[in-house]
Amino acid sequence: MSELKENLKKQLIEQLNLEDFEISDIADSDALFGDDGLALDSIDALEIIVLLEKEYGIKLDDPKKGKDIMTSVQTLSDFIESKR
Amino acid sequence: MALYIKSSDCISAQATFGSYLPEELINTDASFYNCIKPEYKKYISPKLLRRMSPIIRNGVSCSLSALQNAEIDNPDAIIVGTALGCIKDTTSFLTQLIEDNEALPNPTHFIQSTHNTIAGQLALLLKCSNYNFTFSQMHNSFECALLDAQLLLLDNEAKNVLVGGVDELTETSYELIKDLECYKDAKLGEGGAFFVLSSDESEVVFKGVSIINSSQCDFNDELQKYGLSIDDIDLVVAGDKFEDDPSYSDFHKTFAEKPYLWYKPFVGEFGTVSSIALYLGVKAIEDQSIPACWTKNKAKIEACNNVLIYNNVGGEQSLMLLSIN
Repeated sequence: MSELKENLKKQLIEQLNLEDFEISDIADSDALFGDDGLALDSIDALEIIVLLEKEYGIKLDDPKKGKDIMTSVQTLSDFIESKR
Repeated sequence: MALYIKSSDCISAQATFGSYLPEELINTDASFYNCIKPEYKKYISPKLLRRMSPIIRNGVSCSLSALQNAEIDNPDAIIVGTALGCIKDTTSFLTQLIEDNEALPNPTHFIQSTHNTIAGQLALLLKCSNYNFTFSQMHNSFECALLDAQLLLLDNEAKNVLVGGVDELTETSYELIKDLECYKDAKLGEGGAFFVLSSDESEVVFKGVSIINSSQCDFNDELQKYGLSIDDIDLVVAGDKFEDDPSYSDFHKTFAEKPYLWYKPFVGEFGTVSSIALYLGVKAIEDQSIPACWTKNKAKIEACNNVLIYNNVGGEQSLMLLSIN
């Protein structure tokens, strides 16, 4: 597992207070939103936007792209890498 | 019109949750009391629970338990009293604002930092769009909520009202309260109690609540308003923080011969702690006895027909009265 993806999982667990999750419970391709996977909601989406800006200095300029960027830990990681 | 307490539950530093009064008390060497956490997941889904701070968890679990005990799905009103509200979320939000130079505050802490979050979460969970109100009036916050519930019922605007008081203690609020010397000589605590107040007949009659807007309190006069005298009182529940608490010397003198319950040395002092006193009074009438560990004097509890509850914090006084039906 890349260091970035591991960090992201750790930050998601802490920031979103996912009490029942360990890093090993989250697969890179698990859906962040919807009924499967982490089943996050719109407030979590806001938290992730804040997390990206605070931890990685990346601002999500185009809200329309948010859905694709926040599909999974893999897509989040790809987005961060693309901005580095 | 008579009003009744149909059900109740309480979360405190003692094992009071589950509409129960423990026979033994837990002593702690810590400088403050934290609540014993109930099994929150019995009442709140993990998805919602992860976002809730302790005061919301406690308020919601306690309320849902009281509603279950009363077999009520949707109350006609939800009324909450809280002195300091969601102080943990408020502290987190303000700290982030300061540390991050007013940029990027965490949205969850902001959303849930308002005092009415507990009542709001209850409304969302119960899908209850009825009357929803939160009172914050320091040591009379719970009493104000109770008074509002009483007025709603007496005006026939509601039949079953969920009413309660709850507060939380965080490390930051503990440090601030100590620095400000707000509660000298008192051990601080947290928790609360919720009740279903109803016009439907049940075992415990809620006679009323009085907020005393004076530094003195004539107990005889106050009792006469409810058609009672000092002799009619079988049990008192008082908020003494320690033995010989000077704030309670008049009360103590007046009711010296009565069975005397106290609770603050076991649950701590906080803005809505009088809700726990009401819970003790309700249990005393329901069970017609009380575990000995809660009694301050050795006076024997024979019959428990009328219970007087008195609280006095720095001159902010209140009285509540309960009777058996």
